[in-house]
Amino acid sequence: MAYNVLIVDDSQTMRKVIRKTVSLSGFEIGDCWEAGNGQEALDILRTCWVDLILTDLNMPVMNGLEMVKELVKDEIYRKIPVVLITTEGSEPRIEEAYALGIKGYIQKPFYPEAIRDTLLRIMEAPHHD
Amino acid sequence: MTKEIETKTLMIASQVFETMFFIPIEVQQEDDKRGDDTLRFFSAFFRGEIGFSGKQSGRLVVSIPIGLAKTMASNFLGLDESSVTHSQVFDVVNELCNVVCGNLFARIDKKTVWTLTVPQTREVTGYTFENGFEDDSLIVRFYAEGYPVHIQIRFTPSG
Repeated sequence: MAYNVLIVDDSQTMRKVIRKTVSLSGFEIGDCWEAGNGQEALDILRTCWVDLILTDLNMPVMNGLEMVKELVKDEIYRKIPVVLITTEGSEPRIEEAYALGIKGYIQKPFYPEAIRDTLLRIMEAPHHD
Repeated sequence: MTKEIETKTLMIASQVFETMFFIPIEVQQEDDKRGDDTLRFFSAFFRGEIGFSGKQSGRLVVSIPIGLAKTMASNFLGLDESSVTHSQVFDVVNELCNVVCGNLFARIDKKTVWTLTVPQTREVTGYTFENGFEDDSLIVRFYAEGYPVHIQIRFTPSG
């Protein structure tokens, strides 16, 4: 099954690498959109059907946590699984992200297998919403 | 503390270079004097810089010869080196700073929330490495693909 994915990262290069790595990992991508920050991601969500959001944490304009806070306010958006892909490793911030409702966390640098395993675990869970 | 930071920086650099760029690093031995001067032989560098704050604050700077940075970008993006753009190389050096700095401080103290600034990379010409910082900065040296790489960490004095 292919999933529509939204990749949120302020580095265009990093977005391309994540997209490529996810594809190479064997996780099937349908449509894929890219956003440079949380606000751009919310704009995309208004017009596109997204099954999964992969987001960085530290970004200008609207960071990853601020974006998740906006997502959970919306009945539909809150059901979209969010996975952090970030260099962030401090426990308080990761705990805050999980408390807000993220479904997974992958620390950079990452192996394709780590991405595949995390994404499949989340997307193939019986009730991932 | 200095030795701990140096050891962790090298461990992280090794992991990052192998995972992201498929390049093993060679750690400089104490009796190896190459690292003190070899960067001087390069006419230009990429110099990536990122600020950090948490329990302590300061800056982390990565200096990389241009040839190595292009190879890293090529490997990272899976593109032929000739088709990698200047902008992509800058992005890759920025990402390197981000990943090394983020991982380093998470390993130094996981319980602290460390805030990182947006990394910035610029090309530096006619550069003498030691002029980049005051003498009290920690400099971690290693080689990758035969090129010297320096990571400098300087903590802002408290008080």
